[in-house]
Amino acid sequence: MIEALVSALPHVFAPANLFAVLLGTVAGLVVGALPGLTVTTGIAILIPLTFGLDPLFALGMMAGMYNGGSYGGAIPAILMRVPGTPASVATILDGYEMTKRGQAAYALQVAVVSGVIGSVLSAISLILFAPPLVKLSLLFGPAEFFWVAVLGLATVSSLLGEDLIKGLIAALIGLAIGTIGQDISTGVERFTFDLLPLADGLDIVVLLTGLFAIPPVMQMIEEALKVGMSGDLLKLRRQGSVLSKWREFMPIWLRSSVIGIVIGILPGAGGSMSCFLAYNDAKRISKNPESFGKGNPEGVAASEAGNGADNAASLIPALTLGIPGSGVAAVILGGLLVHGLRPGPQLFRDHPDVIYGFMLQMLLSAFLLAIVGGLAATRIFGQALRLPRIMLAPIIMLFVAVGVYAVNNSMFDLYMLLGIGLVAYVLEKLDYPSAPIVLGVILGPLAESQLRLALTISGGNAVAIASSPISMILIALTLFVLLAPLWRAWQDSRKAATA
Amino acid sequence: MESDAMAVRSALTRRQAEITFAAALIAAASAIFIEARKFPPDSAGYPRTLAVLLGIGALLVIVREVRRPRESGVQPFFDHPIRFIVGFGFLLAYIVMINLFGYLLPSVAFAIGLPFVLGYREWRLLVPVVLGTLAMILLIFRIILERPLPPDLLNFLLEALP
Repeated sequence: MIEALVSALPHVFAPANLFAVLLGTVAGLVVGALPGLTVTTGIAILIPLTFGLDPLFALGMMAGMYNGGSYGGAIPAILMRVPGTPASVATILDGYEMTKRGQAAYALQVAVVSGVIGSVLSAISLILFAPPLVKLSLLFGPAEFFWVAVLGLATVSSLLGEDLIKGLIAALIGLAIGTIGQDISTGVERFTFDLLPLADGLDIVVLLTGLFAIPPVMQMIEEALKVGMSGDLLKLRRQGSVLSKWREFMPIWLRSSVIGIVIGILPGAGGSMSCFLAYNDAKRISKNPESFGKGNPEGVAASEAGNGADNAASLIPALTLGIPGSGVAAVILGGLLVHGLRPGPQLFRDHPDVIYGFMLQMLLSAFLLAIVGGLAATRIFGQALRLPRIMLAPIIMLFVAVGVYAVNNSMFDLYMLLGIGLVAYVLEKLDYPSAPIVLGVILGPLAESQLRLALTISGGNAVAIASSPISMILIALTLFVLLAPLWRAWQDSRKAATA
Repeated sequence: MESDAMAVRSALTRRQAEITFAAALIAAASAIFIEARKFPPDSAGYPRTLAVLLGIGALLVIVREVRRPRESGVQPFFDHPIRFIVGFGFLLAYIVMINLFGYLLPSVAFAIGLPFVLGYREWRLLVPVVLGTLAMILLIFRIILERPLPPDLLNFLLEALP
């Protein structure tokens, strides 16, 4: 592992790749800061724009976007009481109260330092835990990989949305989309309707962009907000140093980071869950829990450290097993596939420079956040917040259109983009989660081919695919993940009935 | 315009949208099941299974919506239906225009026209931002990355770029 990391270092610090991480971090900060745009949207827009470029350049931008966007959401949360991303909701509780007391600059400093610490620890956990986990996956055969795919679908569909049925339907939609194109086992073309662009399946770039970039554009159009943030809010002056109080903050940073990392690793969890859990934990152990929600900087620190710590950790199951720990990780998984990089042991064996380089880029972007997220930089990049959102919607669309067209030089892709975007907007309005669709498209063909292979190896004996200890564990985990929400719902209804 | 909006708003409630979309999913699942008849059994089994599960899931959504108390489903599906229609119309027209005229002119028309139609009038901000964005896209895509743009009416200008 050390050898692979050392050999990846020159690639990571190549000027172009360094620039990519910096650019991605700045872009992430802006995207995260803009309410209505999420990190997922930003990465979905990035994928077609970086298609065809060197993988480490593209992944460097994604790494920067992930960490930058994660902190960016705190800026409007603290200044305007509007969460830039869902994961910055807990930051509002104390961050905006600090702004009301004239401590906006200090709150932003606490947020960025906490975010950096969480992101750095998370990137270190990625570097430490992913290689051993990938070695474990070498024990997996076709049957086990089939169950891994099923577990991945079950976890994401049940945890990313609040509604289990809708989560499962979303996963099924993705699985159905995944059947479009040539069946690799029989060579038969399925659901292509003699359209040549569909022969290899629906383009993942078009799908990702349609699912995650078009709905926010449509939302912005429907809201038609004609004013941006007031420029006065960006007149920030330094208000003391957070680092001089590191002894006070350190326990919160460490505890919140551990919470964020654990939540990040759990497939399907993450994001707002980690920041709320970290916030509640900090409140629970505080000597002054009543001061939380009234402008306590420790609340901002806990929320942002938990939020940052979730990032790289959510990539641990994604890179090793192909099961993403969050919606953003699901889109990054799609981004890897666009560059011909399929998660799992092969990725670590065949492309060590890229994969270890990407892990180092997550670490690098976490450090860069300290510079890019500083007060002076926030004043500069935060200017984007002053643009009215009604203007941003078509601007985003200009990037999306040119990026998607350039992937295959195809107008067909642009029409598909619009069709997928329209359906995605309806799905979003009806609270169907989009991430399971991506997972379905990615994991569906894998599940189908591995199941067929496992059945061929076992001579058609269906029982054999569930008989190995690893398969049994994976089946048990899948059942647990699927039944846990039902159990919770049953418990809640019982409580409601007795109340 | 506001009265039109009210009319459309009251026409489609969240409950109706839930049921309509679930019904569309059942229709799609049926189409998948029927289309799969054309494939050999090895290729048809998996999509057919998915179609059945999708149909059952959508049916569960319909049953749940029908059984839900009526008061919870009266909220409108669209907050501003007219804006949605205008927005989608603009997006569709934008793609069609790219097909006909290339990227540049439709992009200018789209990025300036849409905010204008939705009531935005700050030209001094809108025009420079749109033109600046397009210049940046051209710089990145055409000059730095040498990536293709759709065939454009202004190709003679684009070819003059370094």
